[in-house]
Amino acid sequence: MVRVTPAGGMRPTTPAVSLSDACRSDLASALAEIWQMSRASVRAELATIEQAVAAAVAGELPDDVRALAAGEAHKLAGSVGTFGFTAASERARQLERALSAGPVAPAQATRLIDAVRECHQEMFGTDDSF
Amino acid sequence: MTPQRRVLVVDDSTLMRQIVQVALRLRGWSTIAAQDGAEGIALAVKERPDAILLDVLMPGADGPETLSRLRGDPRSADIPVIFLTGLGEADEQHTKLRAMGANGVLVKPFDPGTLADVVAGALGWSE
Repeated sequence: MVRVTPAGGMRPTTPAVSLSDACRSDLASALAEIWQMSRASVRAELATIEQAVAAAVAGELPDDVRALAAGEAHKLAGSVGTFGFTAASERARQLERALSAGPVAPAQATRLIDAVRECHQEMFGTDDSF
Repeated sequence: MTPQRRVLVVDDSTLMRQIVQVALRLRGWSTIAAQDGAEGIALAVKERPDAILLDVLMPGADGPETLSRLRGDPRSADIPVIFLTGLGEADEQHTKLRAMGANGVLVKPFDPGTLADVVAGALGWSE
């Protein structure tokens, strides 16, 4: 039995710690390629969450939309952290917890907007519109 | 010589499936993948992989239900399973997952560079 604690993740350009130099380079290149190919889908997942939070701010978040957004937040928390986007992973986990716990009050949703913005900021920077 | 291993990755996240498969293939292992529990069970029975990395939270049959069905089928009962679970999910849940017969619990996010080592270590594979 093993329980693995996260190693802080790694960005696509960060070498792995247990592989040969050649494999480190291969892994970094492969991860960078995967990230480039996945940016659009990650952006779409984040948009789903953003729309749910915006609906909650307006007091109009249906349960099915909330559940869908919680699922997207769950996927983001696990996957983007593995690329080294630690803050985005933590914010996604925060969003997952809030969205999966039950109805979200407008005041709480207002605070979640910051979490969505921080996710976007770390993964896509300031060049992309939010 | 490193043994050729074949690992089945079951996760509803396309991105996570890609990450895991890249990390394991660089170790020289082969991988197959499924996007949900039902597909994972079918592949496990058909392909008999050396191990299964199984996401806990998935639509439809989740990880625990999938493991239960794998263990209940003699064609897949003996295949080692390591759960993939999110950071921050309760320790009590990890205890429950272990009690269900999983061979390990791997917390996401993880370091892709050490993933194969972790899997090999959990399963007692000498590489």
